[in-house]
Order: sequence, then C-alpha cells, then structure tokens
Amino acid sequence: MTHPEELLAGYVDGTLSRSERAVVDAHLPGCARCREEISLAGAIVPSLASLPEVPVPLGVTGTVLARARAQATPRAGSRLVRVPWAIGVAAAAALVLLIAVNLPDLGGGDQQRASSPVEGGAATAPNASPAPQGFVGLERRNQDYNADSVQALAKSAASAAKVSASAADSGSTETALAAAGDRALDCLKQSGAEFSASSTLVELIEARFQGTPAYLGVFIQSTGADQPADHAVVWIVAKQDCSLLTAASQRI
Amino acid sequence: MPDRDEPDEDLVRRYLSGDAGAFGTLVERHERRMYNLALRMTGREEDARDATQDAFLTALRKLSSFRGEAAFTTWMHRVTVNACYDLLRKRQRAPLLDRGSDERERGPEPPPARDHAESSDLSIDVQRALLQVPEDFRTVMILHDVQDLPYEQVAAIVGVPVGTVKSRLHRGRVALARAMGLTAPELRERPDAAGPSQGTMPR
Repeated sequence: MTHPEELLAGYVDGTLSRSERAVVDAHLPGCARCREEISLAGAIVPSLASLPEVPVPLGVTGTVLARARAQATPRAGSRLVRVPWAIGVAAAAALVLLIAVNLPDLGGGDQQRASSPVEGGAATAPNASPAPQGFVGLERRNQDYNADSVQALAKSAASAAKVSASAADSGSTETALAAAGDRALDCLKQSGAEFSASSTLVELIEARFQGTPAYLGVFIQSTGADQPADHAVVWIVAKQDCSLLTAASQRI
Repeated sequence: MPDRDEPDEDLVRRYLSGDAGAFGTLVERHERRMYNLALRMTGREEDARDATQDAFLTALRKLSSFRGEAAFTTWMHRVTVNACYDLLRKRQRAPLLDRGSDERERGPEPPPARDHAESSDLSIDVQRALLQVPEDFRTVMILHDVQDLPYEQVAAIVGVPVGTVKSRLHRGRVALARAMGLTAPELRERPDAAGPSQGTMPR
C-alpha cells in the first residue's frame, strides 16, 4: 500500500487543501498504520509548541561582538579568539577567584551597598554573614590577567565560588549601575556588554588583560527567574576606548 | 543609533561598510532564536552556547558572501543548524540535559509551584525524547513545531524540497511520540492524551 506520507503532517496541521485532504480521508479507513501515526503526531505537536523559549545567557555573543568591532575598526595588538565555554578563559577563571576573595567581606543588603560604592578597595562588613552579594566599588589591581596566571587560582577557588553562587541574589545590577556613575561602569555599558535584570554586579576591577589596560566587570546570574545563580560572567573592556576585549562565562 | 525597523539586509550592508554597531543589532535581533534552536538541537546549555557562538562567528566570517538571495534570518538559521550538526558530530556523545548533572552536584532543588513543576517536567521530557529522534527529523520539528516557521522556510534553511520537509516532519513527530512512550492504543483509551500535560517519559 502506498501511504500519502507527504500529506500527513499537513493533515495534522490542518494546512491541506480540500483535494489533498480528500486523498487522506479516502486512505485512512483502510490503513491502520496511518491512523495510528496521525494519532501519535497529533498528540505530540502541542508538547513541542509548548516548549518554552529561554533567555540567552549573558556572554554568549560577547566574543562575536568584540570581533565584529575589531574587524570594523582594527585595533593594534588586539587579537580575539573564540572563547571555549567548556574550558573558560583567563577572565572566567579570574572571576571565580574574585568572587571567592570578596564573599567573606560582604554583609548586609546589596541595595544599600550599591548606593554607596567604595572607591579603591573591597568593602568590609563587621558582621559578615552569607548575605546577597552586591557591587562594592572599583578596585585597582596591578595585575595582568592571562590564562596561565589564573588557571592555578581557579582550581583552588572553585569550591568557594559554589558557596558564593548559592548565596547570590539578583536584581541589584540596575541599581548598582545607576548609582555608581563610574567611568568603568559607563565603559562597560557602552561596550555592548549585555546586562539583564537577573544579573548582579559583584566586582569591578581596573587591571590589565593581556597587557591592555582594562576594566573587568564581574557578574553572577541565574539561568531563569526564581533560579539560584549558576553562572558567573565577566566582561573585559579596554580602558582607553571602552571597546569590548572579551567576555567569558563560567558555570559555578 | 540603528533604526529598529531597519531590514536585516541593510544592516548587513552597513556592517560591511564599516559600521560595527550594525552587526551588533543583527546579533541582538537573532541571538534568542538561534540560541533556542541550538538548545533544542543539542539538549545541553553548554553546547547551545558553543553552537550559538560558533554560528555568529561563522556568520561574521561569511557575511561578505551573503548575497541576499535568501532572507538573512533564513541564512542565519542555516548557519546555526550547521553549527549544531558540526558540534554534535564533533562531540559524538549522548547529550543530556544539564539538569541531570546539576541535581547530582547540588542535591534536590526546593519544590517549585505545582504548575511550574508540571510545565518544566514536560519540557524536560520532550527535550530528552527529542534527542532520541534522528537529527534530520529533529531539525525540521524544531524549526516548524517549536519555532513556528512555515514549511517553505524550513525547506530553504535545510536545503531540501518542501515535500521532504513534510515527510521528515511527520516521521519525526511519530518517532518523538514513541520516544515519549505514547502509543496509539493508549491514546484511544485516554482521549485527553493530545494535551501537553500527557506523555511524560517513564523515569
């Protein structure tokens, strides 16, 4: 028996012409196989249609945007490569360290902290507790970040990063960004870096990246609403012209 | 400042003329669809990130060869599908949802609201079953049934005749239903089984 296979999807979808539908209707009474298949296909389509569209995690296209910018306006000495997500890059490892370093010093509400950024060093909280993290101000570090220097540090900081992620809160980024008014934050915002309402700025560093003076913005975020923070994302922008140098994400 | 209504093809031309921001607008417009396509194709968030990044890097590299015969969105879908195929071939392993490994690492999540839980469980079951369906069938199902693209555009993306798309779509749906554990006798006994709350895979 010849089955009208090319018509069965349209039969389920209701997109057949009258003549096409007549062909299928004439075929079905004598074909148990096609009746069964139509029943199965009709049952599964609503499940496919109901698959939710999920938001894009931060940092996925950061490298692409950086390369697009570099190609459109070539920068001397800047060579951008694809960031392997599974491995992370120097910056991703760096942020694990940064979160781990700063968590013990944080306490109190992040909103309050966000409204009074501290310039020049990490804030301290006398009654430190595993409270939500927040932006604490620009920290200057005489360090040139690269893959080799942070690889060893990432290993020792991994467990602490998990603790920091479980304590993370969301929703303070906009407040922090709005309150800070810092050139480093302006730079990050101008660079094309992507911020979302579910991301939290936890660290802002002035340092170097592969020799280039840079700002590093470190964020934590959750994959979806009401989910615990599970990713850390770092954006690195050139201090000189705020161009995006690279971005990286690391599962916590 | 880019015009929000500016056609993709104009943005391509502007980027090729040296306007880096034009490509950023293209990425902003399409990244969500491409990421979700990759997520459904690969079943892993990590792979979806890689495939999406690869797709846009490829698009950037080949943008000068984009002649506008197809709409940019069709071309971008094609690039993303190919990035997914490349990634799946390269990794040659059974993809699993991140949820499995996360649960092992973190322990059980707190129970979410009932409706949310049912919706999430079904989505995860469908996603897992999708990965058991041959890639060519999976691709057309995702493009048509998940992303709601018409047969003709799916055919243009995949590069096969429309009739082939329709056949693959039907074969894929049947394969997916069977991978979900649905059977026709069960459907007949449970006339409400066509709804999205049915058909979860046995755990």
